[in-house]
Amino acid sequence: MAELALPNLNCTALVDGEATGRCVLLREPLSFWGGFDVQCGKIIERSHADVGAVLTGGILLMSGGKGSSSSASVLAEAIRIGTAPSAIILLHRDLVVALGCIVASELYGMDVPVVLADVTAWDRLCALPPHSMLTVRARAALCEVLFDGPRDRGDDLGNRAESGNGGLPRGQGDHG
Amino acid sequence: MRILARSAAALGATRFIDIECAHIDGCLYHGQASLDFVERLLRDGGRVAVPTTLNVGSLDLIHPELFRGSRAVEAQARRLMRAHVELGCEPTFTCAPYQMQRRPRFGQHIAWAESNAIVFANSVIGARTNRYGDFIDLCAAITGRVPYCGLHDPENRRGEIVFEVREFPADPDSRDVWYAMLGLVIGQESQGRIPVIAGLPENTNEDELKALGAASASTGSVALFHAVGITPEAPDLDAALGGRPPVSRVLVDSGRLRAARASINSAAPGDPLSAVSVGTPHFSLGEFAVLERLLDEAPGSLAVDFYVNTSRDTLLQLERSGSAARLREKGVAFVADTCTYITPILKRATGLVMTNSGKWAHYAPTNIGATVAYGSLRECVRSARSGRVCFDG
Repeated sequence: MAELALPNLNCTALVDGEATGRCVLLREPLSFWGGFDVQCGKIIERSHADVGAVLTGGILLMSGGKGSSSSASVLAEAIRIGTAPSAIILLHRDLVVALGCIVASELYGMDVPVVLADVTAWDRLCALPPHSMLTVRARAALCEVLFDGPRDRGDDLGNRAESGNGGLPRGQGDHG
Repeated sequence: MRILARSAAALGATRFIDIECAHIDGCLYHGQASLDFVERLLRDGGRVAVPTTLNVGSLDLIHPELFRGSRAVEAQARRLMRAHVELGCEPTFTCAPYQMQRRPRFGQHIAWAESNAIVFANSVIGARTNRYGDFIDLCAAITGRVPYCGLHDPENRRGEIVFEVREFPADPDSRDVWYAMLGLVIGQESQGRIPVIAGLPENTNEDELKALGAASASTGSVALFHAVGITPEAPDLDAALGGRPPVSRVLVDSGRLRAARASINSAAPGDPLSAVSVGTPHFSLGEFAVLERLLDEAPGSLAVDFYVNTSRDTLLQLERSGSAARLREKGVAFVADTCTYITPILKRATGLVMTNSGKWAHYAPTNIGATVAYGSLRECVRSARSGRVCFDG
């Protein structure tokens, strides 16, 4: 599918890298520690609006982080074992999230880019069709987000599926 | 330093400042990445440059027999704690470093991790720290510096959202839960803005502010709050807001607090109890004194396990005063260096576990699979005696 650059999208690269995946939009911030299962890449915080969502390989659209500062370790471990999102787009700067990705990059050479969107860019990303394919290219504070088109319906399994659904799409990213 | 520089870039900071001390949250074992990071620093000859305290680990090194997880994880977790000490950190292993005798002072720049310690340091002490987390805390300790931005800059410490508290319960023996519930509400409602709380009792103490802050940092990303007339940067509402009008106001009445309590309590009076766990964040000497008084008020044995999480430093002081022996005799089990909601310690975590901690109630269901009975410390003691959940009034 042809890549469509999202014109005039104002984003800043917080952590460099390049990734492609389907977008996974969270309706509220997530604490990776206590809220995310590293082994299966899924949100497990019972009171989270998106509990059950699989983040593995996706381009995670999350307004910000919350909760424990241990989230950086959990995220780094998820990147190490391959269950992390392939890129993270934030509305609010979050060092805990950025650090998990920086350390995984330093220790293992595995790059999961983190991008900060301004309000306009954020609203436009949130308005994309669910599970759209995105490409994130973040380098030296510059950032490009490409829209590769909506996913085919056939692959469009809900990202808020209940636990136990083994057929969820996985591993679209290229953080290996 | 490269990680610190990349972090500064991620933060948009252009310069660094020196720090007085650091508190490290890297001792909790989250997998191989935790250990790989510290071993790499050790191999490169790393050593902390400022006084550095350590947060909880995954093990109680004072009572290692309490650990009920796998041997492999235990060995890795022990190595992780040990490696931090080899880097020059003090083996404090507490989430409440502000209860140590030597603690930061008003206005000092520090690099603290652990969400409840961060909010306490900024709000109650008036020291200045951002929400440091795993990895950057240790980088800051080793270099003695942090990027100058966020809450290090007084411009960014002004309150933005006012919580007007009405009808706050006054009874000192049962109001512990309402501070925690207020914290849960503030965490949910703040949306990244700095909260100003108006209407708390003037005699609010540090333990109560600890419970409030810990809960607010569990449900939101609160790193600083101002309590008007109580915390040092809030002598009055205008000062707390830095002379600007608030972005928004939220009214918190007793109905709102009761609703928050109902949302985290899964127990009905009379339900059988598996255990009680208090001390999240770590119990202070003041809280132990209250517990001892509550246990004395109605003598008799406890029907279920009663765990109290605390620091080895506080426990040592309790041992010296004789209080630890008295509490053990009454059925209290001490957990030091770690906490019951992050590591397998509870003998019976499957049923109802009662706590007065908003933070424990928020995290324990996902972390250890416990179902939460939520009540005040007095209700926890009453329930532990009968083996069944009891609520006052």
